[in-house]
Amino acid sequence: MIAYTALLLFLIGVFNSFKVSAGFDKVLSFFTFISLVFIFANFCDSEVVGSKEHIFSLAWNSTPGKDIKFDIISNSYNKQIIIPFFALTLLGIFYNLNFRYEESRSTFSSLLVFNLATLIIMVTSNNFVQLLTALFVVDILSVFIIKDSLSYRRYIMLNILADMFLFMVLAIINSQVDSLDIRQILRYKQSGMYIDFLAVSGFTAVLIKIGMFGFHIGFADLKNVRLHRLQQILFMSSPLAAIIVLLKFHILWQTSEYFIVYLNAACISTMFWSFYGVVFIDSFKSKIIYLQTMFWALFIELLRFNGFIWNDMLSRLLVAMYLLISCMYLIYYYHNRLPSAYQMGKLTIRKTDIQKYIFFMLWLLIIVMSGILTEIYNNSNRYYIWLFAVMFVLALSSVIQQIYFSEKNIALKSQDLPNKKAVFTTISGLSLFLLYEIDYMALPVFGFAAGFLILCRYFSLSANTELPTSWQTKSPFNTIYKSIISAIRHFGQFIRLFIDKLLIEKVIFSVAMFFSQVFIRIFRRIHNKLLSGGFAVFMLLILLLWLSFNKGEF
Amino acid sequence: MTELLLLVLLLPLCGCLFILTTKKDNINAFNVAVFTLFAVILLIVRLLQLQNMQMYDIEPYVIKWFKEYNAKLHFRADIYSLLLLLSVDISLLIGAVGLTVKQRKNKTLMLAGVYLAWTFGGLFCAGDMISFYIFFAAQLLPLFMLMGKFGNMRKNSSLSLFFIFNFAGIMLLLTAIILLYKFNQGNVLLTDITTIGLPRHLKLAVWSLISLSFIIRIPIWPFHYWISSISAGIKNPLVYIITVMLPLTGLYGFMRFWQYHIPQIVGSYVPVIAVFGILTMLFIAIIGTSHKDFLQKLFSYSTVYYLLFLLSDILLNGMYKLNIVYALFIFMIVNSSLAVLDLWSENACEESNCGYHGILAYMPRLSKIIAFFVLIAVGLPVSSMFWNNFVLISAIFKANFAVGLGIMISISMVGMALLYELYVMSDLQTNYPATEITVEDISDRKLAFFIGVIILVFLSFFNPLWFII
Repeated sequence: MIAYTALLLFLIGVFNSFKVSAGFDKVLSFFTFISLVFIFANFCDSEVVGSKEHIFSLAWNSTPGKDIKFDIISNSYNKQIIIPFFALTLLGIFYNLNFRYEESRSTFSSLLVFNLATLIIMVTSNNFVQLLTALFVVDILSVFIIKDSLSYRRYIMLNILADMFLFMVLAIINSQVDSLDIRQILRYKQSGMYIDFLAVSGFTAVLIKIGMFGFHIGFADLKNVRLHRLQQILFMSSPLAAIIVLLKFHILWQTSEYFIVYLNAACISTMFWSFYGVVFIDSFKSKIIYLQTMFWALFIELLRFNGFIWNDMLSRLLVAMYLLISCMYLIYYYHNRLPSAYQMGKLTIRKTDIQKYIFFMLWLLIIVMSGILTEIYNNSNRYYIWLFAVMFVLALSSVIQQIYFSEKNIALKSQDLPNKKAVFTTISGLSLFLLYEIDYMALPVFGFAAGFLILCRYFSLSANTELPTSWQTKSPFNTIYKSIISAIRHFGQFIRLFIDKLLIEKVIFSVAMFFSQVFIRIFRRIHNKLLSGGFAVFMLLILLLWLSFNKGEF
Repeated sequence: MTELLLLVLLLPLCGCLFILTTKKDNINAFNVAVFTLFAVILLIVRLLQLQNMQMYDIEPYVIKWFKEYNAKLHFRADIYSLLLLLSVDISLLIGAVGLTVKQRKNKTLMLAGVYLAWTFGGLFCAGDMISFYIFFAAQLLPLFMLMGKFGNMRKNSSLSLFFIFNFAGIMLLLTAIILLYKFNQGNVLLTDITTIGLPRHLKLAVWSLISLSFIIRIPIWPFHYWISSISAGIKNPLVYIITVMLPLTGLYGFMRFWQYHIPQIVGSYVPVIAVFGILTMLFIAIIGTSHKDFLQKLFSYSTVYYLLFLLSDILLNGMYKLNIVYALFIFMIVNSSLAVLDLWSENACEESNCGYHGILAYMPRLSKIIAFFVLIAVGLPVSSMFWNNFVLISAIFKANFAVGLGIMISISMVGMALLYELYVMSDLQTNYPATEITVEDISDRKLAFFIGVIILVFLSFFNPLWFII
């Protein structure tokens, strides 16, 4: 079933990637969306029951030593993971259909469809090479989704670095278990060699791909990317690919005692750093990026509490967060795409009915998310879920307070959006559906819902324009990265000068030239019949004599 | 099949004769060179089809040379030699396509290119030590001429270094071969070379000489300097490709002379070579990041990968030769393509005075092609190099974890350095020109040629030998 869906997606992607006229483009996008809705509905209805697995297998590459197979494994667990990915892609294509932000809607839709197909291949893969290949394809697709070479420079460099880490980790595992099958990684535990190194390297790759603390600069650079593209990257690109890798390899990594410590340290530091980013950096898109990294930190912790097993609650949380960012996306467009959140707040014409409606949807989503967290808490009993949740709501409310309740003085007309009814109906419909599905009658839900409203009205941390601009523009990580790269470059120049020029050219070759000159002088002396020349000939004769009497026995 | 093999060996020689008879400043020499290379490529593909991946399936062609001295010359081919020869000929063809109109009229260059194709053919098909030596040594003179004419002439010492090192390498190999000839009372097949009974000290001396002669051609520290100094400043694509191909002869020497196993007497010294190899890799990778020129970074990249293949061969005791050859096949093509594409962009820079930064922004076709090749070079799964490198690095990790780690660091550094340079070449905003600049993008024919190369490389991801099916 999953293989069939992936094939259909691939075909739809290919069909959409052809260039068509502007008139036909919209029709094509519409039919693409409709067909995807049918495929999704069919996919959700399909019966993949219990432990029964259907494997679609294709001999992909055959070389001496090892064969690589392309496997798509259909089971209920994989289906459970794929459903939210599918839903998010559908939403992305839906926005693309309703907003006129792409010259070629069908091309952008094809990218999203290819991305989804690749993620499905990752989820269902059972071998290292298939997983790595799909991971690399996601990276390549992300370049096309971002479509801004200045913005994706560090993002791609960091992703390639993460890919190299994963390549190395998988090569080490393969070297020990002598199998490309991911299910065989448990055999690695028996040897246990370099397990700490594997866990730390592998998880570092995951952190880089998600943009966690220390590796967030790749994502921070994306603030100039169009918001609808940015949203896809934040959700559907490298972060989701990294989560899939985490789901596949956590069994092995967990055997290292450093893994959980590292994970906690990364998530907590990301939470605090992103909180700073959301509250104090006065760029609307940067706030969204940091809000998303906060969410991923929370999401990884929730995965851990759930034993790294995906479940419906996590799927719903992911969709709810996507809808929440969609609301932010609408706020951005209604506020004339102003880059500064503070300037948005000063927009005179605001608090229109539609903006009030967006605010209501945000509030609804806070209720949904706190409901989901309550359910996860009831299962895991980890109290510090609430610490993360409080920080998240605090950060979000600071942004909303700045936009909705700060001083107003700029007279700009609010921008209207095409097809707003369709978009709002979708977001509110989905939010209500999630609300219906969640057990929301709990004290924390009430607390968060009320707290969010109070914080939005009175939380003044976001009066951040008084902060020095250097706080907002200069990141210590920029300096750290630049220092590391320039240190490597300077070291390279130093060794090139010291070893190549000084040691080899000036010392070794000079010595070689000196000896060759000595030989030349000796031979000249022989030719000039000098006494020293005669002595040299005599010594050479003694050498020949010794060689002759040695009978060639060395 | 033997006749076909003979044709592969003789066709470039005929090509040389034809080129010699062409008029000066005429495009005919180029046409003959391209035709010869293309014909040889087709013949090799046919041989590969006939051979059907069998080892030494082709009956050797024997030349009875100096009967009384027992010096028969054997020429034979297997999958390794044929694939490497194919990659060399494709690379030379790419180099020839990369030449400017003026360069194409250079008869000496064309002659040297085809002559080197012949020597590579002879070297890769040599079945005995004398024929191997003849072709190994025969490469020096045309190379010396090419370097002298097209190399970095600002430093004459570089040319001297090139000659001294290579001549020393040839002399060392000659000494070893004479000693082997003396003890065997005749020529020795390369397959039997490790089985010759020699006194212990002589064995050590012979194998040390052979190893040293090959190491000199592979840029292991401190012998790397001649090749790095000579390749800096070469602006002719064909000459650059030939220069960067030279380490392949040393690598192939190791693969052939230590075909089945490393001689026990030198086996204990393999860790020393591995240590020097890995240090050189790191050294070259770090230096590569400090350069501000794509071609220099490409040189670092190729050196690091040659060393990876060398270490894979000697550390894994020759068990992964086929993976090495598959990876090398793609590596050679990618390396040559990148050199040609970069030199095209540099020429475009010079002609339009638009500067190096952002040149690719004016050349969308070239930009797409170069980006594809850089992605392969970085290690993305778009060619068989990805999978074969994975197998080789896995096996190296099993053999020696520290060496594996060193290799990973080095290949990551050179890959990222290339990727970064691609951004520099596409980045228009850093150095935005004041006036509008028009740069001529690559022609349709060149585009079609490189699309063909891309297809060749990409399909290898599914089957490394797809073209012989």
